[in-house]
Amino acid sequence: MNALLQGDHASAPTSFQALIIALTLAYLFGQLIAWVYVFTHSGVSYSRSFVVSLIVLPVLVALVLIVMANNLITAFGLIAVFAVVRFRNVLRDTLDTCYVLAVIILGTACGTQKFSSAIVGALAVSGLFVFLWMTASGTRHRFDLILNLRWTRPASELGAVTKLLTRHSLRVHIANQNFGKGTEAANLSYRVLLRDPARAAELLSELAELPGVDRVASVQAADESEI
Amino acid sequence: MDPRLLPPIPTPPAQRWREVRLLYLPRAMFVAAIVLVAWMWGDAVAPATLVAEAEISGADSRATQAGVVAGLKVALHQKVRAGEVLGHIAAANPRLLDATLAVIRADVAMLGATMAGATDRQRVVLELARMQLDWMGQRVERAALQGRLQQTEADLARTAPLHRAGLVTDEAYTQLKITRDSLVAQQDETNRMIARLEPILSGQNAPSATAAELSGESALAAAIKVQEAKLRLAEEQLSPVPLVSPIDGVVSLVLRREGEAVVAGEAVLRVTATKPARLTGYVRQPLAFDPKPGMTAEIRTRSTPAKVAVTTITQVGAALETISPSVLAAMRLPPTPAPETALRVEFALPVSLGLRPGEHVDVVVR
Repeated sequence: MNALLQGDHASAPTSFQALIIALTLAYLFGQLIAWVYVFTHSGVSYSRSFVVSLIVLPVLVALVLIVMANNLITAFGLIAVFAVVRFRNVLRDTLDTCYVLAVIILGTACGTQKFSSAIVGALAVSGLFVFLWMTASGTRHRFDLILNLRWTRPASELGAVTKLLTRHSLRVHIANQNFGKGTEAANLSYRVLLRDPARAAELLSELAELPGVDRVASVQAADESEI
Repeated sequence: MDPRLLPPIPTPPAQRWREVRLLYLPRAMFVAAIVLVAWMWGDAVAPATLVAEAEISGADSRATQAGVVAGLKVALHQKVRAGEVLGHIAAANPRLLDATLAVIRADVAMLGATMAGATDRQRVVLELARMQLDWMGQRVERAALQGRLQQTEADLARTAPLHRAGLVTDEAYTQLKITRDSLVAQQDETNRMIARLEPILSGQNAPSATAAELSGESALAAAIKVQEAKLRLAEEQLSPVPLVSPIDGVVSLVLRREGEAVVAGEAVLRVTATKPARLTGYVRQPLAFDPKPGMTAEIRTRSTPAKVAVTTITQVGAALETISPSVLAAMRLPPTPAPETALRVEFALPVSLGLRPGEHVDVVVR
């Protein structure tokens, strides 16, 4: 372990305790700002990958400043490399930019012979990317299925549908209710998070058998609905 | 089918894990990160009150008189004890000594020449004096040989690494060794001659005062004594002066190599103690607190893993002093900080930390 932590060639020895604290604090602040963004965001331009970038960027910035270690020449080199990559590639996704920045930082760390920082940084950044992917970070509304049905009985009896949905779902959200004029029939749209996605067909058949339910249709609602 | 009678369908473990992964894991990770930072904060982030240095105690081994460094017995980082002989200073320039010896030799020869035309009785006394002069002559030769031998030994020591590196030919190096061996042989022979004459001369009585007055032997004896004193002085000058280690420690600096000339008082070696003498730090201006002897302080090493010990202030400086450059460098100030004055504070050295001389530590004064 000591050998791993002694691979930095620099004018001052790297404090790995400080490095770990810096990266962890950067993650904490990034995550905090990302949550604030998620809860306060309004409008239609919400992007999950942007939220992930908000978490990753502080960690990358902390790592780049540790690698640069007050060295102006390294800083210029890093900016120049990033500019060259950016000049020849149109990076539309913020997360793609983060990945490019991450590899440039790790390359800079290796090039400036801060090998230990590069190893610790690579593990930390890769681990963070995997963790954020695994936890689907930035997702606001997560449902498995969008259910559309026509309810022909009085609205006061809708509890039967809700009970059936609750039997199969962990979470139910009414997305749309459309009551016709002069008739009791209504078009309803639900978003449901299923208890067992493998038994979605069972839910549909039970709904179809329920008196008052007509024309049941379902659409898969994948996580990718929020890019 | 009455939906009120239907129980919720079971949630498979994979689905439960997905819920944990997506809902609770980010929160758990966030809390874990906070706990980690809080745990490490005290060790890695808590700012130190001041930076201190385990001060080095060192001493120089100096030449007590002018000469040439010869026979250095120690190398860098070698452990030495107080009083140990580390090398020698060959006292003077061998050429100067040669000239001195030549003068003595000429004086002795002149004294021998003045003995011609003496009576029989005087002749016995003069023979004794001649033997004394011969003996002195041999001692002059030995002194001259000793000077040449020292010079040749120094040349040989200087040439050996050059020969190993291929910069000196085998022939030149061998010639130097032959010269050295020849001088050693000559010196041995002269020593034997001196040793043979010495007991004969020490068994003889000095001539009586009356006879001496009549024959002028007194003047001769006095002249011999003068030459003998000169010879003893030359012999003393030729004998090398030892370089002695002033303290226990390790050789931290070799300032003069073998064969180099030194003046009287010049440092040849630096010996540094293996354990620091004290822990010294500086409270920078403006003084954030008033340090007093007996105040408790926490010492934190900068090694990995960091060691922590509690100690006390033993002494506080009377005036503000310039911060030593090594401590200034250890403060991690912006590049090229300007020199500044601060209050010097000494701490009791915590033995448990095993600090090395010159090591920097962070100090938090409570």
